[in-house]
This record gives sequence, structure tokens and C-alpha cells, in this order.
Amino acid sequence: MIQPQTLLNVADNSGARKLMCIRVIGAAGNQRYARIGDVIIAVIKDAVPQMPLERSEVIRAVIVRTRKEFKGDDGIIIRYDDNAAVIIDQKGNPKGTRVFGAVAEELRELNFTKIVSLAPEVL
Amino acid sequence: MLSAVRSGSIGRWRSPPHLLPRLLSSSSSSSGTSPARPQAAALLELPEVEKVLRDVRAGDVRVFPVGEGGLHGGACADYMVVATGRSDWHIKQKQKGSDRILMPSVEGQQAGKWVVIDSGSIIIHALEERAREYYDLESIWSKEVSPNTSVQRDVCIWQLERIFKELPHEMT
Repeated sequence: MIQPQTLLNVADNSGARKLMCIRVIGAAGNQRYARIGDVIIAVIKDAVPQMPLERSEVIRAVIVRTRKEFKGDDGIIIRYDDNAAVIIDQKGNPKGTRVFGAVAEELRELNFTKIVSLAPEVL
Repeated sequence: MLSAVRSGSIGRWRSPPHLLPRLLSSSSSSSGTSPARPQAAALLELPEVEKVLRDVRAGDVRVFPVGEGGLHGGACADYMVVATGRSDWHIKQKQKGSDRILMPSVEGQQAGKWVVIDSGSIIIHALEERAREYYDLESIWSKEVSPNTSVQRDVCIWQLERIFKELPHEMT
């Protein structure tokens, strides 16, 4: 359940560390909260120095992990320890080149195969 | 392990059995196929993919087996195929080439820098040269597949040794 003002970790090596959601876009069904696989507009609250992305930049990100439990089509319920997102551009290409931590398999069905193939672990 | 949505869509794509022999024979002679034909036939096979990529002159094709015990624990796909295109246009052509067999899901078609064709057990990545350098996909798969398995093997050997060392003590 990601909504505006939610703080998220960044699960890639793009250079940002913390994001704040400022808008949920294209959330299926529920327009209010974003879930795994939804795209949000976020602002970078904290960034690694000397990287292309800077603080207070507005970017798009796709949510890969949520603390709110997520039920897949096979009935498995997954709950992660943090809220995390991967920064993407307008066309859906990831900004970073590596994804950290586990990501949900459902991202593949939601046409984020690129993120899934960069991830070290798929649940 | 594909969940219900994906398997449902694959089920829809599959042709009736009486069509299958004809389609297989036509796909082997690729020049005679028309793209307008309903996209039937089974899922893409590895030789077919390689043939199509050769037809469109894709550069630097590399195949990574990421099956059981490898990346993603076999949950994702069996093979990753990477190819380079000379331009955005060329990458899109490549995607068109595979169009005539079957395309379950294509991603990044408009952007053209990185097109992913996800057909269940095989995932084909067609990248522009600079994008390929930037993302460096080879290093993920070649690095992660080998150390993971070797670490697992070491752990297995270590556990086995410990078990065998403990065995006589328990018996006596």
C-alpha cells in the first residue's frame, strides 16, 4: 500500500537512496494505493554523491517490494521487510544496471521482464 | 513455473493439433510464411530462435543456460539469449523476424533500445550496442550462475563430510 508521502528504498544502483512517492499512476483497480508492479512518480529524498541522479529530482519508479502482503495468482502470500522501488524512465528501461534483493515473479507478467532479468533472486 | 495468467495466455496461443505439422513445416522454410497468418504453433524452441536471429543478421548472439540451480533457482526461464542490433530500426526488425513464429510477450517495442521477447522458457534480449555495454547483461548471468553453483557444491561437500565424520560416533 504505497500512497503519496510514502518513503521507499531504492533497489538498484542508479544512485538514489530514498524516494518519496508523490503520485500513484496506473494502479489497477485501486486508484488510491500502489502495489507491487505499479508505477509511481517519486521524488529523490536522498542520493549517493557524484552520481547522475540528484536529490529533489522527480522520477518514475516501479514498486518491487511492499510491506503489505501481496497475494500472487498461485495463492502464495509474500510480505517483504521494506518498501522498495526500481527507478525507470518514461519508456520502462531501468535507470540502474543492477537490481538488489528479491523481486516478485509477478513483475514478469506486468511487462517488467527487464527488471526481473537483472534481479539476483525472483520469488 | 508460470502462474495462471501466463499459462492461460499460452493455452490460448496453442494451435489445434491438426494444424501443428503444417505449421512446423512452414516455419522451417521461413521465406514462405506470411505474418498475417494467425500466430499459432508451440512455444519458441532454441534452434528456431537462433535461426531467426541469424536470418536478421543479429550481431554477437550469446545463449546463457539459466536453468535449475542457476540464476533465479530455475523459477524464471531456462535460457537467456542476448543479441546486438546496429540501430533502433534494426532491433525492431529483429523483433519482426521472430514475429512470424510466436510472440507471447514483447516489451520495449516503442523505445527500441532494449526489446525483450519473453516466451516462457526462453527470454530473448535484443539490445542496441551502447545499451548492451551499459547494462552488461553477460556479466550477471555468467558470473552468477557459476559462483552460485560452486558455493552450493562446496556447502554440500562440507555437509556431507560432517555427516560422515559424525556417523561412526553415533554408531559406537
